[in-house]
Order: sequence, then C-alpha cells, then structure tokens
Amino acid sequence: MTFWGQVRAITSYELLIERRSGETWSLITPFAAAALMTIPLAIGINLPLISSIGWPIFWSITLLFGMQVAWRHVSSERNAMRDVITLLGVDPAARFTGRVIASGALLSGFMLVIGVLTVFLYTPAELDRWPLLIVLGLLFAAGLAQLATLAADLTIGLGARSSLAPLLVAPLALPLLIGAAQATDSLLRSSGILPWLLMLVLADLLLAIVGVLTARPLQEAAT
Amino acid sequence: MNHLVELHDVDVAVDLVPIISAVSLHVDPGECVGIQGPNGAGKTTLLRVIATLLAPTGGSGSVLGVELGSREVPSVRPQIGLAGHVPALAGPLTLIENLVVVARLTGRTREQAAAALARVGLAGAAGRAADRCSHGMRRRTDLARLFLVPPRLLLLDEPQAGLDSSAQPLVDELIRQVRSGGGGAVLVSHDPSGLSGLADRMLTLRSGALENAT
Repeated sequence: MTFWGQVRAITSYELLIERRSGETWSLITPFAAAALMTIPLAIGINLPLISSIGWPIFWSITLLFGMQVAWRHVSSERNAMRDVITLLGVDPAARFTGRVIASGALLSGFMLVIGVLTVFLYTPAELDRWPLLIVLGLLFAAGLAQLATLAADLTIGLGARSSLAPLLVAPLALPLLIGAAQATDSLLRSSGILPWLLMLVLADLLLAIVGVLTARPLQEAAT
Repeated sequence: MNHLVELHDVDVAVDLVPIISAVSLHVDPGECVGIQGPNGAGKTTLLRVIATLLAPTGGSGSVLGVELGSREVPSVRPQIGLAGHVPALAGPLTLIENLVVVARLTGRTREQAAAALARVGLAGAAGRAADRCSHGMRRRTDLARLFLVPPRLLLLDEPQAGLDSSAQPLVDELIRQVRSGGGGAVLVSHDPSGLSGLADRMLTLRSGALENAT
C-alpha cells in the first residue's frame, strides 16, 4: 500500500468516526457559538465596540474551541486500536498526515460556521480582500491540526494526557494566533499582509517537518 | 531451526517496578504455546513484548527473525496478529466499517471484509455500531480481523473470554490456519482450562517469572 493510500485510509477513518460521533458539530460548535454570543451580551449596546472586536474575538474563539476540535480524536482513540494500526504496518508519517488532514478539514468547516456567525453577530468592518481571510483560515487550521496531532503523539501513555496536551498546544499556537490576527488587522487597514502570511506558512511548514520526522520515533518511544 | 520467537532473560520494568523478569522462551514454526498465570502475573506485558509493542528493558530476543528493539522491527509487524482482551474496535463505527478500515489499510476489499465478518457469524450485525454490541460480538469481530489479515505469528490474550461455545471453534480454526501456514501462536490466559486443547505446551507465569519454561 502506498504512502498516500494509507493517508487516504486514515483520513477517511478519522472523518468517519467524526461523522458517527458528531462531536465537532453537535457539541463543540454549539458551545463555540454560545461563547461568541455571550460577549456582545456582556458588552451591551455599544455597536462600534462590538464591531471593532469582531475579528479578534473570532480568532480567540477559533483557537480555544478549535483546540477541542483538533483534540477530539484523542478522547475516542483506544490503545487497542492504536496497537492494531501499528501492527498493520501503517507508516507513522502517513498516520500523522492522515490525522492532520482530517482535523484540518474539520477545523476549516468549524471556522467557516464561526466566521459566518461572527459577521452576523458583530458586523465587523467589511474586508475588501476577504478571499485572503479564507487563506488565513486554512493556514491557521493546518497549523492547529498539526500541533494538536503532535501533542497527542507526544503525550501517549502519560497519565495526565487529556489535561497536558491542550496546555502544550495553547502556548505553541500563539504564533498562529498572532499571525492570523495581525494579518486580519492588516486586511482591515488595507495594508500588506505578506510578513504575517509568511509567518503562518513558515509555522505550518516547520510543524509539518517536525511532525513527519518525529512520527516514527514517537511511535517507537510509545512502545 | 529458526524460532519464530526467541526471548533470553527478558525483563520489563515500568517506572522501575519489574513486571516481568528474566523470561526466556521460544516458539517454533507450527507450534502453539499457552501461558497461564494469575491476574497481574505479567501475561499481557509478555504478549506485548512478543508483539513488538513494548520494548524490553533488559535481556534480548527476536521475533520473526528480527532483533527486538532494532530498526527492522516495523518490517515484521504486519506478520503479527494480536487480539487483546479489549477488542480493537472504534466504538462509533459499525462492525463492518471497523473491518473495512483494516481492509483498506492492507490493500484488501470491502467484500473481503464482509466475508471475514460472515465467517465469524456476524453478517447480520454488520451495520451495528461496535459500542452497541456485546463484548462477545466485539471479540468475534476482532477474530474476523485476524481472518481478514492472516498473521504468521498469532497472539491471543484470554482467547476464550467473552466468547460463547459456538465461537470456540473459530479460535481453533484460526490457530489451525496459522499453524498450517508454518506460523505459530502464543495464547495467554488466567484460566488454564481455556488453553487446554489449544496449546502444544503450557508455561506458567507467576509474579513476572516463567516457572516451567522450556
């Protein structure tokens, strides 16, 4: 079986589990939407303020709840299933890539829903170059998915895994958050976003290299 | 003769607590070895060492001709079939979906997965989520996985647990199939009666040490 064949099989396996369990759409997204709604309620009728914080709030909510989306597979992952996948001879790098693609796809969908809700609830200033926001979202989703998958592999076998991994992800995701938020701000001010875009691309590339290269050592370390 | 499994004075310690100590054993082609022992004796740990899923902290050994802990270990893993006492299934997926995942990862077809499920008598429950199946049905599905991807080295943890009498012949058939292909099997159980009739020779593991190793 080819590397990409394994990647496809792992991706569809992860997405199938999500389709059956519905964790992202029936649990995490409604809570994220509720969090998005509570902030305007707390601020009161101050439309200029609400409008000005729309996109920063979007990225913050995306980071906090996106971690849950990217992390959700850990809660359903069973040691026995992981053993079987190891024994079937699946390339650990293919497994990493497949899980990242699945998480990235779910995160992208999640961000689209939260993005539409943000526009509806906060009516932030319109972006002239809004397609660039989609590019930013995709880069952010790819980075967060890779970070969460890497953290999941790093914490295999640790007792406090479910608490430890999000704590690992949150600080390491700061470059992604800063890059995405600053690029959006630059879009609002109609200034260049290239440095921030490059920062996101670099972070994604770095995570991809680390994730692929450490996949096998981490698998063997967990045995 | 080249042994399928060969362990010499293998130790495993977790957080400096010894789980198995100085275990030596071999498994020959066509042989089925049974290991009995009380709860906590280290049976599952030993099985995981043989499955190459747990690296020994001491001693040496080889599995399917590859030295434990060496870089070649991943290359023999596809020839090892393990069914632990916890069935390896994704709970939200149906039984057939669980097997199709395995089929896709090993270049097999959905039809072969369905045939394997039918072989263990679960064709009628193929569309049921694993989480909603009994323990026995989940264990049968685990056996179906081993029929779908026949191993050269079969490792069964508590092979009879959770299975009714109609499923016992499936375990026999699986072992027979592996042995006839020149492979071997290691079975572990807390209940010696569960292994009688299946194993060619029986060993006892107590407090992490094999008592009658040969």
